Amino acid sequence: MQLEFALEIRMALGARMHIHLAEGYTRGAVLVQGGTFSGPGLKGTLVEGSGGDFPLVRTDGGGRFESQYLLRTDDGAVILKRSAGVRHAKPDVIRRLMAGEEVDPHDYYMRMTPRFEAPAGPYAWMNHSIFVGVGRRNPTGSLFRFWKVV
Amino acid sequence: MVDPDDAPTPALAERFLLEVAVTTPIVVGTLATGGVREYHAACDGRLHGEGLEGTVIGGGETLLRRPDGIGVLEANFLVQTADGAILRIIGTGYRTQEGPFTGTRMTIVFEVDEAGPHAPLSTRAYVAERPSGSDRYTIAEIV
Repeated sequence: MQLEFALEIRMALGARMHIHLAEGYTRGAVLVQGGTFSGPGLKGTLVEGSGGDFPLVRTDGGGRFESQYLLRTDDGAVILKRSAGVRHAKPDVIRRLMAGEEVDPHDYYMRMTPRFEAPAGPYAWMNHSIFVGVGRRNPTGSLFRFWKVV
Repeated sequence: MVDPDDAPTPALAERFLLEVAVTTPIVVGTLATGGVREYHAACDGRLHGEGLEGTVIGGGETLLRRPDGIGVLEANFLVQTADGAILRIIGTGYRTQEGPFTGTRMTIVFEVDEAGPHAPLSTRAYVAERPSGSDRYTIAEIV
């Protein structure tokens, strides 16, 4: 198995919301306010209000990452992205991320495994490919890069 | 000043082999939502690799044969390790029958006891590949 670069997503984030499920156990929610994506043969914008990122965060450092939103390509195709992932970091790094501070992305492990649903046509390859991705959370937005497993 | 575009570049590091024998498919049928659903129960198997040796004690795979010819796979295997721990392997992916790769590829996470010796497994994400005709998955950590 090897990795082949597929796309980069730059997401503008809305207000950060938190659902405190239990002591030390929080679901975050950040809705897509816009953004862009690009990669080989693939370019477009994120559909505002179509979803967001919903990380499940434990203050001891463990976490799961979930997201769901729509991409619209420059030639008009709408693609659904659903992603699950793992985030793990030391507790003080988690605290800084939760506080919206700038954190070096090499200081935490955050890997996503998205799925895409694309219409038949030039993007159909996305419907049967698996991807791995990395992300970084900046105070005003998120950057994700995804590679296809080949 | 931190470069706002700097991010780690992932790589795949092979960690484990998972050999699974499954029963004859149990076919649910053609679904109203599209595709044919079948289930393959795990009846034997072995997980081995870096610091880990285990036996498959349960679980299985379910395959949705989609109308576009792609198989959508969900796997769920229970493994008992040689030191007595229980691991749950959860995988989702695709089975393809044409193209440059034929077989199954899926992404995997582990569920383990957080106080046990294998707890680090659940802090990482993995991918797995099983070529057509093989009963063996190669599992690689996304590093």
